[in-house]
Amino acid sequence: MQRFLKPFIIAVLASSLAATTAFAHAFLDHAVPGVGMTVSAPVREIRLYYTQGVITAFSHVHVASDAGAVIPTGKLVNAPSDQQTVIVRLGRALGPGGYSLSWQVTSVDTHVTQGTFHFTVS
Amino acid sequence: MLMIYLPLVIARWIHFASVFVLFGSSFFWFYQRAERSLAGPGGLPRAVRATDILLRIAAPVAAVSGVAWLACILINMARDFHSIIDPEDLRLFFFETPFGTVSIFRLALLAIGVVIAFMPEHGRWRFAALVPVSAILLITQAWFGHSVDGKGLYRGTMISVYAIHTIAAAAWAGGLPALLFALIEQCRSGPSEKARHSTLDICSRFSLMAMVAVTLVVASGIANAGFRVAGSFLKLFDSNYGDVLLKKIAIVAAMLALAYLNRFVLTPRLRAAPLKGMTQITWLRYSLAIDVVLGALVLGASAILGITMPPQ
Repeated sequence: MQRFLKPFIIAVLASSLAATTAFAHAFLDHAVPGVGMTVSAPVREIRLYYTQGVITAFSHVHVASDAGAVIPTGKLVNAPSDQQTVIVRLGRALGPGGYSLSWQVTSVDTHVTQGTFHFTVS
Repeated sequence: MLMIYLPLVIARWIHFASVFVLFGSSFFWFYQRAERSLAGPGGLPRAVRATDILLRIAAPVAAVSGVAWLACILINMARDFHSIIDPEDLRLFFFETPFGTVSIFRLALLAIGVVIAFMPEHGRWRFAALVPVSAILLITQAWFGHSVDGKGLYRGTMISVYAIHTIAAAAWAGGLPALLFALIEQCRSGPSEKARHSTLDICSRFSLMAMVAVTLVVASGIANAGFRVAGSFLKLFDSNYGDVLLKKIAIVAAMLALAYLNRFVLTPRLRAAPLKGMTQITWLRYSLAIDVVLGALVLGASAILGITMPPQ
């Protein structure tokens, strides 16, 4: 039994100590347009890059201009072969002005997170 | 999250406890002598009967709490209490999420567990059927928590470590009620040399299993914590996750202290005690009863940990 236990314990502890990333719950890593950034018009889609895989079926994004106008969005989709990226297709191209985006996503470990950021279209 | 947080924790806690009992108390009878689960000489028919009744309670409780757990997850994800009766939300949950298939599989296993628990056959047959069913239920819990993060080999390693942690913990803590039943029956049989030998044999077999289980629980527990903090254990001291984990570790330490007391103080005293003064069996029973309560508290901490954000 000891012959089995010792290598097992060493391997398990070594693998956890060698871990370099620990992301439980999905958080926004970066976005395009970037958080707080100014980009050139037109903007037809927004890409959100998360720290963990996101289930779009139970995720929501709300985009609104600084004036309060709600921008219609299509169904959220993951980027092909990348569950950590969420693509938000906009109902119309964004013209010059400030916009805020609120997101609420469910990660693959069932946890829900949310956040908001602002960007400007020049 | 606030409104559903408490029901989610309670559902997880009850589910963990009931599945632990299903696994640990069934498995108990396979590292004891075969005759213990039979009615003949050396058998413990009352303890077997009590385990049967316990399993008949644990199986439906596991099924109901398992369904409640899934319902709480769905409500939390959809942010809507009506989602549990909304056909579209249910379709999305079961068929459009990575844990949908696992959920269906678990529901089927829970139903099978209830059927096995209420089959007319007694004892060993039921235990043999419930061990693999409850083991798979324990392992598949990984798909509803932090262990499923990451990709490829890393993800596979985390799920494997989680599986070892939960199986070993269930063998140890889940086996305590069956051990308690066995000691109660020994106690009621009156003081005799045979009862003393039986009790020592039962305890030493449980101790041997528990030593292996505890080693695996501690090693895999450290590894699990390492995965959550990417090896930087100091992060644990400044987070809610760390607070809950440290409380869990404190309770496990108390359980280990009791196990030490049982193994290295009470059991040797029982071996040396005169027949009239076999009060050590009673002390062992009290110690085990406290262990059961501590085990339940550890599971409560685990229920909270699984839905608490680890330090980033």
